[in-house]
Amino acid sequence: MAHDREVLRMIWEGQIGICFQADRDEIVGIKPEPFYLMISRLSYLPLVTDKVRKYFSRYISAEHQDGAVWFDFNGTPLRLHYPIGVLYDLLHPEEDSTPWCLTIHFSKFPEDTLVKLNSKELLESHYMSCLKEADVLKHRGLVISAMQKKDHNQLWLGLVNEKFDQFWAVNRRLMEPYGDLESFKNIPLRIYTDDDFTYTQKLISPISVGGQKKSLADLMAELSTPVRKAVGCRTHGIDLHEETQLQWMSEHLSYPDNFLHLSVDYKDV
Amino acid sequence: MGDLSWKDFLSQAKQFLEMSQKLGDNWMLEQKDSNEPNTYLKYRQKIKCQGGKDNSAELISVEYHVVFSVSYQVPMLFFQAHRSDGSLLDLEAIWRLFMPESKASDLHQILTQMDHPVLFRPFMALHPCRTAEVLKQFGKPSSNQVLTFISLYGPHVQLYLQNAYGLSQDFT
Repeated sequence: MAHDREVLRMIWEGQIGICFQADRDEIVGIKPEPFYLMISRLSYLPLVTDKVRKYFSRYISAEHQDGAVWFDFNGTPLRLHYPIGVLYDLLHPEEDSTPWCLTIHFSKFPEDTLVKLNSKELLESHYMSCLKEADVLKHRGLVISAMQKKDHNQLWLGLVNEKFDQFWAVNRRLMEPYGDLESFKNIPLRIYTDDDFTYTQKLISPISVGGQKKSLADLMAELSTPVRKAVGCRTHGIDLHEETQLQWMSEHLSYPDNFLHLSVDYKDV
Repeated sequence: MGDLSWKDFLSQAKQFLEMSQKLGDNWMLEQKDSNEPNTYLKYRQKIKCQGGKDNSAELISVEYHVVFSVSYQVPMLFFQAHRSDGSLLDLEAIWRLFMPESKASDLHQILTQMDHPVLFRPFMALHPCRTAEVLKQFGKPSSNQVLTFISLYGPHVQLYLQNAYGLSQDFT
C-alpha cells in the first residue's frame, strides 16, 4: 500500500528546467529567442510542449506548420513516449543547475527511429497500454479490468493536468496488492544499462523463494552474472540504497505508467 | 493457461522453423543474443494494394516478427511495411491497408506503433492483452502455441500459413 505520501508528493513534484531552441534550417526571418520552461519529470514531451510549439511556429515557414513535431538533445532524437525524467536521466546532461537545451523540429520526423505519437489520442493509448501491461505483471490484469472507463480517464486527466490528488485517487488501487495478497505478483520494471534508450525486462517477484520481501540488493544479485556485477541503481535522479524493498519501490517510485525505470551500473568482475 | 514460458516459446519457435524449412517456406530465426526475449521469428513478403499515385497498384514489402512478450508471457506479432521507394508506411497508411473497415477509435486498442522489444525501433504491433485468452480458447491442445498464434493472428495483417503447417504431425 503506497502510504508514504510524502515520498509520493516529492516524486510527483520533480521538475526539470528546459531551454527550447528552434532548428536553424527551419527558421525564416528573425531568429527567435530560446523558450524556457519548467517541466514535470513524470510527464511526456507531447503533453507539455503546446506553448513551445505555438511560440516557435511563428518563426518557421508555412509548409512546416502542420509537420509532426519532435525534439533532439545534441543530435539524439528524444522518444516522445518515454517519461521526460527517464530521458533526462539517461542522457546525463550537466549535473549543475543549467537548463537542459533541446531543439524543436517541425519537419523531417525520424520515422525509422521514433515512434510517432503526434496526437493526444495516440499518447493516451500508449499510456493506457503501459498501465495494462504493468497491471498484468502485478495483478494478472485483474485490477485494471475491474475499473470503469471513467477511472481510466481520471488517471489520464490527472497526469495531463498534473493533479496529484485526482491521479492518486485511482492510482492507489493499482498500487495495492490484489485481495488478501501481501505483495504484487511481479514488479513492473524497465532496466537501463547502456545510457541509450534500450532496456531489459525480466519477471521479478518482490518475494524471495523463502517468502521474504526482496530488497534492491537481491535484485542486483539477480541481474549480475559471473562476469558482470550490478553495483548501483538510480531512478528519478536518486541513487538508491540497496536495502530498499522492491515492493516499496514499486509502490512509491514508479512513474505514472506504473513502471519502475531503473538505471543500473555494472562493473566487470 | 494460454501463456507460455520463454523456454517453451524458444523451443516451439525452433520447431516452427523446422516445419517452415521442410515446407520450403521462408521463415527465419533471428538471435540478437542469448537473453530473453532476444530470439524471434521473421518472415518477409510483398503485398499488392491499391493506393499508389492515382490509386494505381503498389507493391508493399512487409516484414513480420514474432517476438516473445516478457510481461504477457505470450508471442506478439510485430511488422513493418515499406513502399517500393523505401519509405515506411505510417500508422494511418497501415490502418488503411490492413483494417480499412475498422474505426480509428477501436484501432487504438488493437494495432498501434511501438518500440520493438529487441531492436528498439518503431514497429507496428497487434496488442497482446487478449492473446492468452485467444490461445486458450482456439488452440486445441496444440503442442505448438507459436504455430497456433501465427495462424490466428497473422490473417489480420495478411500473413497466411499453408495448410500443410497444421497437418504436419511430426512434431512432438
